[in-house]
Amino acid sequence: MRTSLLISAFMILLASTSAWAFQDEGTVRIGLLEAQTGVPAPYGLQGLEGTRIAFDEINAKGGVMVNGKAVKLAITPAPNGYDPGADSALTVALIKKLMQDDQVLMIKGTSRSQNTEVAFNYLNELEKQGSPIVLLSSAAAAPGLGKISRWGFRDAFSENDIVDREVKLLAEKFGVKTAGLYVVRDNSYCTVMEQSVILPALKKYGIDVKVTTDGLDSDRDLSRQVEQLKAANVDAVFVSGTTLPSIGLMKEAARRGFKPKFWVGTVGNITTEMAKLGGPTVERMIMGSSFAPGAPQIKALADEYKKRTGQDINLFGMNGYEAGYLIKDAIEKADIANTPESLHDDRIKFRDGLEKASITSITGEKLRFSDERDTVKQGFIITIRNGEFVEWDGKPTT
Amino acid sequence: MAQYGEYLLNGILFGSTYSLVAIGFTIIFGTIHRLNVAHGATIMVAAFAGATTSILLGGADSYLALGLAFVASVATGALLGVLVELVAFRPLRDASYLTPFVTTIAVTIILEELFLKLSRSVPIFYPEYTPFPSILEDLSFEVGGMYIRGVYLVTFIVSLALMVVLHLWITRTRSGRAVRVVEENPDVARLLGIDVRRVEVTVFAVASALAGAAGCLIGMSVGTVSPFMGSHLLVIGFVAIVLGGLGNVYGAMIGGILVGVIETVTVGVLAATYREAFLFAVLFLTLVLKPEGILAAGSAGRD
Repeated sequence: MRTSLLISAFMILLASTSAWAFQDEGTVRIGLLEAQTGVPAPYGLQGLEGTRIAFDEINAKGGVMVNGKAVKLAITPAPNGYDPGADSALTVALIKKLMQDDQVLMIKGTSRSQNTEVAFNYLNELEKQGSPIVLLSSAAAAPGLGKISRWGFRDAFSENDIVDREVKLLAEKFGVKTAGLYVVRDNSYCTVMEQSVILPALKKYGIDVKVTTDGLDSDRDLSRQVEQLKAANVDAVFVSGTTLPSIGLMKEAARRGFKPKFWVGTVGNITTEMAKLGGPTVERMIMGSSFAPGAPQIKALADEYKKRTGQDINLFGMNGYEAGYLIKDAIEKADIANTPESLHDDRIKFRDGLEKASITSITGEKLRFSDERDTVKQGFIITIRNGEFVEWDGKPTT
Repeated sequence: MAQYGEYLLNGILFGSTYSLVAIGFTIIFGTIHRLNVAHGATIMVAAFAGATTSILLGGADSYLALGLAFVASVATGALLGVLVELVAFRPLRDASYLTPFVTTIAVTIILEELFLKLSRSVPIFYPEYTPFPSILEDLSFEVGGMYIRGVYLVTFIVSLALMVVLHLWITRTRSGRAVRVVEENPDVARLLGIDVRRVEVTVFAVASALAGAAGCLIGMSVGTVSPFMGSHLLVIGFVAIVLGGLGNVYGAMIGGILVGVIETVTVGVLAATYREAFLFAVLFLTLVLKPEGILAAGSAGRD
């Protein structure tokens, strides 16, 4: 009897502890849903650490102002949020858990386009059920995802503008007249980039697409693709592929003596491995990025990232960092009460706040969300030199 | 025409690594009539061992270092195979035949996630792909208008040599013949005084050593290794053994090369996107027309 009384008292204490959360606890709960295992882990971990650095900076300066009081941003569950890996079904289940059990204000995630597409569709379902919540992805960059749900936001890097600029430069400054395309078909980002971004840009600037060759992420032999590109003898090759097949393609091209004037990649090629493993054959490939590596204004962040992880920050880490500050600005503009009772209304207010959010990124660029809830970034053209990503100097690839 | 010949030749050359994957897979199945799903993870771990050795000893510039990388992969594969038998099979000897399927999936997930974490914490590894430096990388030559990569040829020669050694072991040695008896009928093997458990451990060691060799050769050919490389190879290995005949070593040899040829020729003649569809269509047709595979195994079973 005495034991059961003690247990009951303990349970009541636990229940009341959870009621102390939110404003009384001095925190705003932010759900984190980044891939930390599985194939998308390299993107998710960058986004996770970038956001964590931003939150730590914000909290070190006192936190965010809510209802006249400075409160801390609390990653929920601490310290790393949940890990959905590459599993879309798990992504949906964890969104539900973060919303119902963890009672978060919003969710920062997810880490790749396939999962995010499913998650954004689920947000519409939640809205129909009367329990909407915002999901902000700093990694899913596939064009068009923003149209899916008014609750799905992205601070990824949309390549529409930068590819347009790249193609314009190639056509007008370097006289590129013909192009070949290599597309990895089992990656939705690569195929969407081909259809929605690269081909329209090439058409716009009058570059003739002589050949489109394709492959799969698991391809080991890229001789057929290289032979097709070589036979077409194109001026530039646009590579819409993931790291390994892209490196494989360029190495095979080098072995077979095929040297187009330009190799043009996408953000899918901005990985540590691309620069380090590709060797001399990938040097001077150009691609768009949301920031210029080596720029003085990002040095402190890059150093902090390296200190924490032992690795270089990349586009996904940078996006995650920016997303942290966009969340802060949105909270401060949302006028939330931050109590368990106000959570439903707060989530709606947060969405409105995010629509109005506007920050100056560490890169110096002004960031706000477009009508399709994507941040628009001008971006930089970068290349690989001596195994490092650097801002492009405007010279041909080969 | 030379182009099609090149696709065919590359398929045969690279397909030999699939044969090694499939042989290891099928010897274990043939002996204990259980699928070792951790075979893919064994390939991956062994490939990492080879890559690490090659990075540390300078495999990009030295044939000796590359040879030592191969030895490291084979030894790691054998050791891991024995460990998998000890952890995921031996305690479950009397359990349902599906139980080791689950335990080896667990071993696979644990190893993949462990290497994912190592990839992010060991300075010589990279988060997504770790390099496998090889002096053979840029070696290539032309024969009759066909372009052949040196690493593919070396891979084929080494695979073929291993298959010959395996054939000699199975047919000419006492321990190899014991494996065949256990495959045929473990009860008879016991009556003949054969230590069946010892044979099973030997089979795991040999099969996983071959997996290690395959991991090293594939890593060398591709130039990288990754925590998830084994999953795809496991599927390929499974297709190869079903095509060749479950439990049949020679069927696995043929099946692996067939898979390599189907993959390369499909990609070359049709398109990469049809690669797996065509492969599984061939598998489907084989199962319909010749369910026992190209070379059927002995019919004795335990269950």
